[in-house]
Amino acid sequence: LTLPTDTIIVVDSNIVLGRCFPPGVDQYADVAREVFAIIERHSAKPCILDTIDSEIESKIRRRFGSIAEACRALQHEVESGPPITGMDPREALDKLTTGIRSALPENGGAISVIERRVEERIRTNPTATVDWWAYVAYQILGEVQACVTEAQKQRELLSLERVDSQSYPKAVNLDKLGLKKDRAHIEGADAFARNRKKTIWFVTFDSPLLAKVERVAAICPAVVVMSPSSLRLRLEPPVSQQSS
Amino acid sequence: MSSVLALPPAVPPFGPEAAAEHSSASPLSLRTPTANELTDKKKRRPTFAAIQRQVLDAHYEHIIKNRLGKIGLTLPYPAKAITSHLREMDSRDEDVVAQRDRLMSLTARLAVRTAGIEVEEPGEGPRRRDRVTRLQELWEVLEIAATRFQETRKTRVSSWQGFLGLFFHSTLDSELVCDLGPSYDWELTANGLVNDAEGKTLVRQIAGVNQETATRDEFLSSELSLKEIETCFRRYLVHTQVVALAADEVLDWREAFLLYVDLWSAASLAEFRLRRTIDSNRLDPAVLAQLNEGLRSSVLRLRRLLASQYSGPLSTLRFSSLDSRLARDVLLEAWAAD
Repeated sequence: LTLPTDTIIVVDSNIVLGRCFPPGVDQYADVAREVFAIIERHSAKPCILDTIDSEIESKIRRRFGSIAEACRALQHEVESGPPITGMDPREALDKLTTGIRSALPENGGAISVIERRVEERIRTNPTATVDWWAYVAYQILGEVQACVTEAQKQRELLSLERVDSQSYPKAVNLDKLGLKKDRAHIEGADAFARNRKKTIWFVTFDSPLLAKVERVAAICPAVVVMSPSSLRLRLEPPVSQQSS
Repeated sequence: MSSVLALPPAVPPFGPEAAAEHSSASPLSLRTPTANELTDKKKRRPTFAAIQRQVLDAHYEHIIKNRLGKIGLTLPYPAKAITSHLREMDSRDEDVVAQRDRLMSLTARLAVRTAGIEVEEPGEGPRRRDRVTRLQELWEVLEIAATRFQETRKTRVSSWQGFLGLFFHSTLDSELVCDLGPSYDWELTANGLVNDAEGKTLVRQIAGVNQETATRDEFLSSELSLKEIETCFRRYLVHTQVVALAADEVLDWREAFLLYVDLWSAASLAEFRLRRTIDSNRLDPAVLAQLNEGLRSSVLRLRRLLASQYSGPLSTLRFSSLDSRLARDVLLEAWAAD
């Protein structure tokens, strides 16, 4: 089966982020890779809405900025207390990462990746310092930065086609559906689809949005919200279904 | 740690023991000045020293116009006083001065060789305008560009270390690490990638070989005419300057941000460029947001430019401490052999 010619596939920010981060950092990384592979197999070009593009940037910043913030807070705590002496690098790394994990329990994957890289650096680049705490804190900040740059690079290399949905007047109001940020995406996708006479397959992991697929379809018939599994079944149905 | 940047300092640069130290020198742009910018109409053959002075003067003028100018506020002190303070602070540390002089010298030499300007210098008689001389000049351009990039990288590392210290010793928004930090990576990566990719292309075209790059001898034995050589070189210049301009725009926005934070939070001009804890209350959140937005947009433009023009080499890079094969080594590796 091939994608209908009047249809474009828009991927949500959670799918793009899953593709930009390594599997350890993002729980959706593997499924996101599969989504892109399916799209590629059908010679289609994955698209993103302008509103999703901005969301991707701010989600990357938020995810790693929060780690930088937690690291700085721990550094401030230490600076306001008595000087730390006799701490070795392992102890400094343990205490800092434990502190960051306590502050950000939801960010465990990213913290583990950063911890592993700092540990590797300490092991392979021996250095002499009297202040291991500060040294490790600086290393963590450097790794936070590296993760952001790497995610930005991955996002650029995905060659996503950007759909300027905001340049079209909105025809529907999804206020009653309580979709939060997704509301702007769906309203924009609907405006684009109506004006350009296209159908949009909107692929997402977002549970609240997937829970309202039918209600969205009733208001925005040209926007088909679907999960990655649904995308696969549409484009690559089981053999028995194909023959029937 | 970003692979384009060196290890952070073992001792934090903003610790109490470093309170009296001044911050790193004002970073120089990477664009190569053109012949028009450097040629004194009255003097047909300038000296290298005169060109270096011109580059240095233009650098401080650029800071006032293009970096402080982006802030969009009336300067808190006269522009002349700021320039003179910056010059003084940039001259305090012998190592910093030596590094700056090396960069100025490389920039002047690069500009002279790129534009084919005649210079008045002992042992530097009038140059013959023939193929062999031009080929030697162009090989020298590639070598100087590689060395200059290495020197530039050192100044950015120093600036980056200062930025990390600034972040730790301020209450500035934590998402700044995700904007300012990667801007160093992208700026350096852009210059490293484009110099490497375009340099190799130029060498291949002029030497007429198919392999990834060629030796100096193969390059100098080119069978192309002088006109064909200049056509290849013009293409190299256009491509490298487009990326250098986009990368310099990132540098200017980042510097505008850092200059605003430093200069507008200083209690007096004397405090400007001294490492200290930043009092964020003196800063206007709206100005910080505007400068950060400018930086984000310039980084985005650079990212898109690299992804569209150099996706191959970009995809092989990994921004991580575990991989050191990035722009910092790649240029010297390419040109050092001869």
